[in-house]
Amino acid sequence: MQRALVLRAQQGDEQAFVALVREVGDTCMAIAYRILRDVDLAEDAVQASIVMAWRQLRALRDPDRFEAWLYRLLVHACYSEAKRARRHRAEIIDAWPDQAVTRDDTLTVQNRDQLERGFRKLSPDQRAILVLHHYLGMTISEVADHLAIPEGTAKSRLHYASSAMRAALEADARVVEIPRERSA
Amino acid sequence: MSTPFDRTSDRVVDAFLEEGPIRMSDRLFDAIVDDVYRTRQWGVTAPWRSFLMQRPAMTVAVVVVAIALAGVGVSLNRPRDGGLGTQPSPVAATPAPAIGVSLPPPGTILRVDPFTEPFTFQMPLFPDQTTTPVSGNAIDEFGNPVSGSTTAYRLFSTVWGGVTFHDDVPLAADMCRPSGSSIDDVPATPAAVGGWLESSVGLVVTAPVAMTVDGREAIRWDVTTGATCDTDARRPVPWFAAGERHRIYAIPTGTDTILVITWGTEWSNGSEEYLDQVNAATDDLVRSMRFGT
Repeated sequence: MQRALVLRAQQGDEQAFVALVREVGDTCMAIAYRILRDVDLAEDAVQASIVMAWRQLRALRDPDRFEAWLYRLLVHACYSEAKRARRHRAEIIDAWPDQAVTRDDTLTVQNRDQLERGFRKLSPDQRAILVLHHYLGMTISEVADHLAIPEGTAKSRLHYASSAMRAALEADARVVEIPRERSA
Repeated sequence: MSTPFDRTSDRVVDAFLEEGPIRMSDRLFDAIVDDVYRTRQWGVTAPWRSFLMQRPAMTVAVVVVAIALAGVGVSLNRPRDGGLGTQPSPVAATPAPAIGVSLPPPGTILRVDPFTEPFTFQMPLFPDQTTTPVSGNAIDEFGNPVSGSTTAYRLFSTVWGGVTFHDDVPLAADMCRPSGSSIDDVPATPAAVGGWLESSVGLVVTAPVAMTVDGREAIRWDVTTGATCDTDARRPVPWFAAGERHRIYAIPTGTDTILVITWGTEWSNGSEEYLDQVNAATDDLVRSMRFGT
């Protein structure tokens, strides 16, 4: 089904591409938010990557790899947005307006704060690895494939990112009180 | 081996990443749909568009369009067996599907700006130009899907394949292993390009053939990718899949090297039946390249 839509979209069929966006758009949003931790930035990244995918769809040689290809564009769009955000804004937005969201009750408030802080210290490419591995459940080799990086690189980035997150959790016990960051 | 703490922290990280939006908002979806309907796909770009986007090219573009129109006019008035650009076949009378734009007629001078050293070339005679009013041909700039940069230029046909031009682009260190490490740019000299190709394990490279291009010493090679080469659609572009044949030209620009590569009909998943003709046409094209014009 998806392959047929991709082939049609490669011939310039906008409706077929829009149908593809309906299929994968939610996952794109979920990935982008989890990398960027900011709804506005995530939406910008999703929009930029999907429009770029439309423009460059003819360069995709294997229609069966559309999703992997789109996720790679998306991750790179997230890198760009993260760079832009570093330049233009420092606030942290902890709100999900008009969004369907999930919240996990197993996380304590302090856990969440510590993880949030730990996560924000990671580089975008380390965040991407964590999201693809932990959120989408990809194996290391699938992550490497999706990001077009060597497996060893993916492994070491994941190791670093996981260690950083563990360190953030361990710090939990040492911190007496950390004020929660909020957007203005 | 993971410790109990590792497993616990993994679960906490999983839970942390589960939180957040799981759906795209309707507002975002609508904005994307609007963008899609307003944005042209690369590969269906009108031939003059890339020129109009470049700084000093307006005059040249006007000249090119004029020449192209003149060429079409001449071809429409030729007798049926009149050779190049013969009269249109019945297909020409029907609107072309919206998947491309025909290449300009042979002899048209085109200018390519998006390179460090802009150049012109003369359109050669590609396989289907005399007999097929092509609906799928296009001429455009295209980019690196990963970086999003517009880094290359191509003549493209769903009938016979394509010719691509590359400058200032990262390349796979091993063209047989596009997913491996990469080099930052096209090697600096034609001889270095030869070394790079030779070092690609699994790539069968013929002996170099010297060519003179605008008074410069260029080199071309024919390459075949072995069956063990990666077939994954990974970047950087260009990348080769297993079992493909290409002709590669390295043309020195003075400070840099431009790569020109021929392609079979893999865009339409066809055979490479036209490749020899495309190679011959591209030989002519490369010889006609002129820099700094």
